[in-house]
Amino acid sequence: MLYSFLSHLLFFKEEVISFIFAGSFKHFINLFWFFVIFDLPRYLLIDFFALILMLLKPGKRDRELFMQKLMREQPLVSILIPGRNEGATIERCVRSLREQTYKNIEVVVVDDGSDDDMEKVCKRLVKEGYIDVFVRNSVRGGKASAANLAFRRSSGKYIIHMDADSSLDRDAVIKILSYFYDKKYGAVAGNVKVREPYVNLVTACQAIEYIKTISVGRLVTSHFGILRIVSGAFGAFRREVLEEVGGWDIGPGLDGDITVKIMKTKRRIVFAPDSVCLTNVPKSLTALMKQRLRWNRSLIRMRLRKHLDIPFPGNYFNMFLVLSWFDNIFFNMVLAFNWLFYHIYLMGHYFSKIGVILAANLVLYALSNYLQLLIGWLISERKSEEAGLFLYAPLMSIYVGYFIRPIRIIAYLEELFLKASYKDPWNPRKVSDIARRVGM
Amino acid sequence: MEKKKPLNSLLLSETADIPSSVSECINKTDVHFYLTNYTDRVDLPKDVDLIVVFGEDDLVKPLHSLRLKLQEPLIPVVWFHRKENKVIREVADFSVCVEKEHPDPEVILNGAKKILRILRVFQPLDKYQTPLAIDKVRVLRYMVSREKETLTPFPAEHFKYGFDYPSVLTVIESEPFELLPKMAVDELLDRNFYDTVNLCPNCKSSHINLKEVCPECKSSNLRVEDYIHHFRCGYLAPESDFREEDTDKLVCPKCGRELRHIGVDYDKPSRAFICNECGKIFEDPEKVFFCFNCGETFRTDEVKKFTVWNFIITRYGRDVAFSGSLSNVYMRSILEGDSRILPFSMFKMMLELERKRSLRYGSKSCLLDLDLSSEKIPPAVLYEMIRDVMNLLKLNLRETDIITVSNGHILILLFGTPCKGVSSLMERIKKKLGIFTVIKNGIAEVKFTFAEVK
Repeated sequence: MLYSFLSHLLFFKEEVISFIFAGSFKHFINLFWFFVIFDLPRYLLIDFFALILMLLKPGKRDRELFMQKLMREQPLVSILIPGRNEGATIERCVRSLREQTYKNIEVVVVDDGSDDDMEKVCKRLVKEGYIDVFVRNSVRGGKASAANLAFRRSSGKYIIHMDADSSLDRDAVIKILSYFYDKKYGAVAGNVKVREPYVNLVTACQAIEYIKTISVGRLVTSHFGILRIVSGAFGAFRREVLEEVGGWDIGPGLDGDITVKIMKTKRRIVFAPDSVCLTNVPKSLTALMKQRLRWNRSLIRMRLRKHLDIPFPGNYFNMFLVLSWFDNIFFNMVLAFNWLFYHIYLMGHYFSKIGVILAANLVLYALSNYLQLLIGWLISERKSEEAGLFLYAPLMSIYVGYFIRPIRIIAYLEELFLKASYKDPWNPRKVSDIARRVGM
Repeated sequence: MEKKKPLNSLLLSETADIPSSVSECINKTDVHFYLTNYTDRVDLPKDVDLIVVFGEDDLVKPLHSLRLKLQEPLIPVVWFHRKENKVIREVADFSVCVEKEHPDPEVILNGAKKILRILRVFQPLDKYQTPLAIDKVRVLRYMVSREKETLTPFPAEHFKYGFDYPSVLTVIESEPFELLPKMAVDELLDRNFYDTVNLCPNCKSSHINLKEVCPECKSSNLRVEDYIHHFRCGYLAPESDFREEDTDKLVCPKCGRELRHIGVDYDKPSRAFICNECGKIFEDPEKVFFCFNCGETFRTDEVKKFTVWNFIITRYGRDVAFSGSLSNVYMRSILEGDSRILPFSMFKMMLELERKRSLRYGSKSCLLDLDLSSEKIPPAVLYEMIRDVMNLLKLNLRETDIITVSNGHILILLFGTPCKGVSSLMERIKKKLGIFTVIKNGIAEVKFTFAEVK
């Protein structure tokens, strides 16, 4: 029986190979144009540059000198942690801050109207010296207001924003600060990785996704000046820059929004691959779906509504910002719809062979995923912990193609036609209502 | 209209240059005596009603000797001081920090008058008592006149036991820590637990420092370190074992891997003490005391525990305060209910009358004086002694005889009885007291005199 199964499989494989490589190069393009035209060049390009950047490490000397200066002068660094119902995670977060090699840290926690035990836990942590400033809003105001309150109560020269469900590597703070060696950088995006990658397939896929899109992807986009987001989970800002842009605006997507606002002041954003934050990720598909719907809706809301002025000449015109805007719109929105179109196209032209073609697509994507993960792994600081992810790399084709991209399409459509983000309970109702009225 | 009594004040000040708030207060009083640099040689005015002090807490000692020299040491004290001082606040009845307080002098003087009114109600102090008994009465009178139910120990670093009773410190000659417990034995005061003080077993100083020292070499040069548990290889050691030289990295000495993230790579399950001198690692350091006074170091179990008490005035103590003598109260309480017992003033009147009568008519009466004021008689013994003597007297005296009690003396006036007629009564009393002297090994020294009223 096993023999018959294997021979059947071999026969199938032969059939696939003969079908794919039977015709000319044109035939191959006809079948896999999406992969060949869009995904392959982008990722190959990215991987290529990532490899070069990894070897060259531009600005390394300046950063080391600046790091020594910071260690000598010890300017105060405020870490802002706005959160809601984070009673279970906040302790781990602030404990990782106590472990930092950089010592002059002020921890500011804002409890935005939690109904769990966050207030009780935080008050204990204040007593134990883990939290310097703790403010509780008994009435919920939303993440942006909590972050702004934390900023107001902080006094550091540099400001780090992080999420309560994240924690930092021991050297994360000094490493992220070291990028401020260059005056043109207004904000630094920290590297975000998955804390527990091996809980299940969902977390493993996210771990690989984070390495691909953040550790590798942002390294390259940052180098070209088109990094489009300082992740809310972990990012550093100069105090005067935050003051200039007036802090955070209403989310969701407030981290992407503040990045745009900073770039509008003609400053640049840089990615710190060696400054690592570990974050909790959704452990079920439903939770993941909710998170991604929210994230993707913000693309429409922020890029296509609030900041639609980016590509047009004006006071805020910044070439890098325009490029990052196009990069964002094209690779997220256009490609997602294009992916849908590709499947419709296949159904129209190769309906009988669609199974084979999609299977072959999966193989091609798996190969490219291996390549990307390999690059990500090579530049990683925790190789032994991440080695196990190679086992899950083939799954990524299905994860991205048939989970992430369809969710994107749904989110974009929902937001375009239904303005779904204004109904998301992630923001308090009063805030969403006014945001909708003033078009934010 | 009744003429108001004058209020005479006495100023104790280190300097003649006094602020306006102080002179304002003094000017409200009638006669003022100024006293700078108080010494024993200064002649003090007789009737002072109020002491005004201007200066800092180094005047506590001069105030103490000044008060003891006065006819009535318990008169109120108003203290003006520049620096805030908690001991001054306790010692003085009214204290004013001139830098930040400007109270109405009228209010202060009214408060002082209230104290004076209570003091005037007290009977004259029995001067024939021992100094210790006088101190006891003064403490009680202080409490009654200041309406203080309780004397609470007050903490200050320069007090030998860490605590003292500064409020009564300046009105008595003895040490409060010696006097007050004796008063509790006498049942003049009740005591309640207040606190326990650790004292040096060598010199009894409370100025001792608790130190944590290495159990091996006894050095206090210790550091506290977290233990690190490396999850991956299970290695557990103090943090310094993981610390890499010249960098801030933590590297596991067992497997060589870097520890990056608390909660993911490692944890800190406990802490340990490490001796910087001998390198020993231990969880519980030895605790020792070092005495700043005598320089000795001793173990915690060698420390001398000293209890300080709250002292609460008893009913009996209150009676003693009013009567001015420890013995009077005992005697009165025993004689109560007998119509032959008169107040001293009435007794004195009757005695005077009898003296005049015997001069005119030549009748013979006898005055018997039983002196029980000796301090050497313990109160409990004295009480029994008086009770027995009084019972004896009650049985043997005639209806016409009168008795009074004053300053530890029992005075008996036997009308129309010549002295030789009382000798049998005297013998019986002597016999009765003799039992006590035998029992108590001669501690009772009872003087027994009598004289014919002339």
